[in-house]
Amino acid sequence: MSFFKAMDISSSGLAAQRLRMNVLSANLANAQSTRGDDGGPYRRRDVVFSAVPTGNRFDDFLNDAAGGGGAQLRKVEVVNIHKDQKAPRRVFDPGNPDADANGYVEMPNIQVMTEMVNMIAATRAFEANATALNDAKQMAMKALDIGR
Amino acid sequence: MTNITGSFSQQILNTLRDMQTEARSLSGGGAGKETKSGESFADHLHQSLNEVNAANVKADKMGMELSTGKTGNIHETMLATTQAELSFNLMVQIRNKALEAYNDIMRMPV
Repeated sequence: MSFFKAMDISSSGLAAQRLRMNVLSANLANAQSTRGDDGGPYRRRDVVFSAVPTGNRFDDFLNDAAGGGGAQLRKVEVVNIHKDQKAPRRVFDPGNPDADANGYVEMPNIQVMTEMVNMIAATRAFEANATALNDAKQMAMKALDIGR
Repeated sequence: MTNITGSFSQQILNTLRDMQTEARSLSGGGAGKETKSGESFADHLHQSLNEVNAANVKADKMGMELSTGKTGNIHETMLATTQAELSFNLMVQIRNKALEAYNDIMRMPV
């Protein structure tokens, strides 16, 4: 049903934003981690969103042929979590066990401010998707009120 | 979920179409003529009921999984409950309409 389709699409948005929030939280938590998983410091992660067809393609095309417009609908999915290849921040701290011969430590390429702003954006995007979902529900409820 | 509710709505639609064709044949061809064999309105209603029930059972299961910590999908659980609620409301509306029609016929003076 098209109402449930709208809800499913909003739900995919919610899931994607939630995953993005997790990734951003990991960035914030590791803003001072000098030991990442590939030897150097932790590298900033970010998500790649992609528009993917909703559900089953055959179903969508059948709906489209019947005038439902299903094949044009796209939900969102996180297809990749990539590592930011920006150079690490170099901080002079000779006492640090991870310092090099000149006393410089490679810190993660994370700007806390940027991460905070991204988190606000993720929260707002989540809210927008939740609102869209609620509106779809309101429309369905209104449709059920017809002729009552 | 979408499959269940999708086929549910499809069935409601089919039921309505069947009612339409039957009404047409009744008004056009006169009473007593069986135009369509096979599934009756009651069968459709029964099937729809089963599917609404399945949606509710699924929502219930997801709620249980969320509260026991098996899954952390808050929004998917809420979505399942919302869809179950909507399917249930639709079913109640269909039932109200059917009962209304039945009562109208019962009250009809002979």
